[in-house]
Amino acid sequence: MIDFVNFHLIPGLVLGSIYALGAIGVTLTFGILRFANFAHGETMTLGAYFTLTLTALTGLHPLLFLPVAMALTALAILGMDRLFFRPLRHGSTIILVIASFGLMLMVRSLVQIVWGAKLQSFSKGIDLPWILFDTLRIFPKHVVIVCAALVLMLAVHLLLGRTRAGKAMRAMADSPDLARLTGIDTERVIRTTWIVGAGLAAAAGVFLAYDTHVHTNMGFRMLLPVFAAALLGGIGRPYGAMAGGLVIGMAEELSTYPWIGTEPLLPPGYKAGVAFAIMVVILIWRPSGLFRGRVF
Amino acid sequence: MAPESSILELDRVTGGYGGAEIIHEVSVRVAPAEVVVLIGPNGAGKSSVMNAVLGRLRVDGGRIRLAGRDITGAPPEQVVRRGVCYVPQTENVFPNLSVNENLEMGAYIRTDDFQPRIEEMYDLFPPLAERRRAPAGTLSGGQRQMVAIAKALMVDPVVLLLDEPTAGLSPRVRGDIFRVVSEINARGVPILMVEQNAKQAIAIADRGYVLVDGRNRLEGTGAGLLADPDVGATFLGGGGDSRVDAPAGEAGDAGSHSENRRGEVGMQGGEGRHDADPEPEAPAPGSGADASDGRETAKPGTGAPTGNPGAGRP
Repeated sequence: MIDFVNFHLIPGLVLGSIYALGAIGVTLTFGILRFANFAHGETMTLGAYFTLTLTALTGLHPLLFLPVAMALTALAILGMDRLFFRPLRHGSTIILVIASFGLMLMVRSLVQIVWGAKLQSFSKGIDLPWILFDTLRIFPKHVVIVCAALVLMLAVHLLLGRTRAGKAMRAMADSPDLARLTGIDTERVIRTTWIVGAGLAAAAGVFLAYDTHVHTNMGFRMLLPVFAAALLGGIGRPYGAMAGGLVIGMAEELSTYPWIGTEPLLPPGYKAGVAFAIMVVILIWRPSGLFRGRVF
Repeated sequence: MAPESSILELDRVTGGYGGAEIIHEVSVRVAPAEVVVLIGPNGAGKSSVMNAVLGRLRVDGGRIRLAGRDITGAPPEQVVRRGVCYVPQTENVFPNLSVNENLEMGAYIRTDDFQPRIEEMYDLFPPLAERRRAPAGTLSGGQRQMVAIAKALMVDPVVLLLDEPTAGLSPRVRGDIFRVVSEINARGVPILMVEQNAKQAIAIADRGYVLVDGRNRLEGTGAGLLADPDVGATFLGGGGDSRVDAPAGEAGDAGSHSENRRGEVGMQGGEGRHDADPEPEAPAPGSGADASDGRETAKPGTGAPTGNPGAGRP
């Protein structure tokens, strides 16, 4: 039982928080810019590598640079939007999707050129867990990740519900045409969307790297679960994406628990398939997701 | 009648979407504090006239002036920022935003404090005051229309464009909307309105234009149009029973562009004839237009006599 908590429930919660942050960006881009952004995985990777460099340069704790990494990543994405997405904005959606796919490959290659393709990590030391009640093991970094993710999600909640920029984002997700006819500055809303999405993606990348390690494929590996989370929550629904991320992260970790007998239900190697399976089931049974999002 | 005195003026405007021309040399003007109504059969180009003003229709010829300034071909954002407030026929509110948030978005281009205006709107539309926290998508059709109009009034409109504000509403709610339109106008806001419920619309309008097949057909004062035998025969006799034409308005909710194009094709049979058979725009009477609340009572207040359903023409 305690193994369940130590090795499945807590890691699931951590992974779920990370996915949730990534999924919010996907769902916002999908809802407001109306395309599935394949480069979102690389956005997460970029955040991790920016932090890696800053940490290496200064020797300070990686999470201190989280705001800087988020800002740098947002800046990079705004540049990409200007160069690649904006000129294609008024064409068909599929062109944007393909462009994002191309961008994904370009960014990943660029990261490999600049930072190298080998596995790296923020710190060399070993992180020791707190032991509670003799058996419960809690890693401080996990507590930090979950708490930081919650704070960021709360910030998203306040942004969308309380600020003019956030309300304009929701308005544009509802109807871009009406937003334009209302006088809403749609390009500005799009910029806000990129900044929020990229910032959260960078945070997700940094948290994953902090928990595990930094690798050029880390974002790409997160892409599928993050898309599954966005779909599960309902496309265009930020709260759905949060819930979806948590569910997908949990499901991945819980799938390896020996629910029946003593063997893991799924060999850990198949963990990545869980998100895919959930995505397929959602698309077949409830394409609008848990929170009644858009159906394409 | 001098152009200088017009708030909005379309001067022999020709235009369309893609390759097709929808409106041909249409001239419409709205003077200060006037209510002007555009009527005509489906596909006559009424909504296209509005889209031309908004910069959403390609204009091939003619000029469009707003308070004397040429706005021909200006993009929608610019037209809106110059004070043209537009209420589309459908999808005219943000369904996932609360009523209050919809009004805030209506004030997006304002930089001053607009809270007093929001309260003013709740005074103008009391039913909305109770539902200010409710998502607009959960409101009834009439209330949603009120949100749409209130949202447009959050700025000081130079001119207010209403595209079929009563489409799909029950007769009682329809009367409410017309009363509100009159009241807004009484505050000095010029209004250009497209309406299927021609009789009621003409009754509150200062002037009206009848469009047929994308061209000006008739023009006159409200009373003049009501008395015109041709208008009566073509648009009020058959289509005048206001229940009849609402479903046609509802049918095109997926974008008025294609609806117009389809309508254009459908109307070609009756081109250029006053006594065109009104059948194409008159589906079976009572075909579910008022299903929302089932009220079938006569229109109150406006004094317009109810048309004779079933009688295709007098």
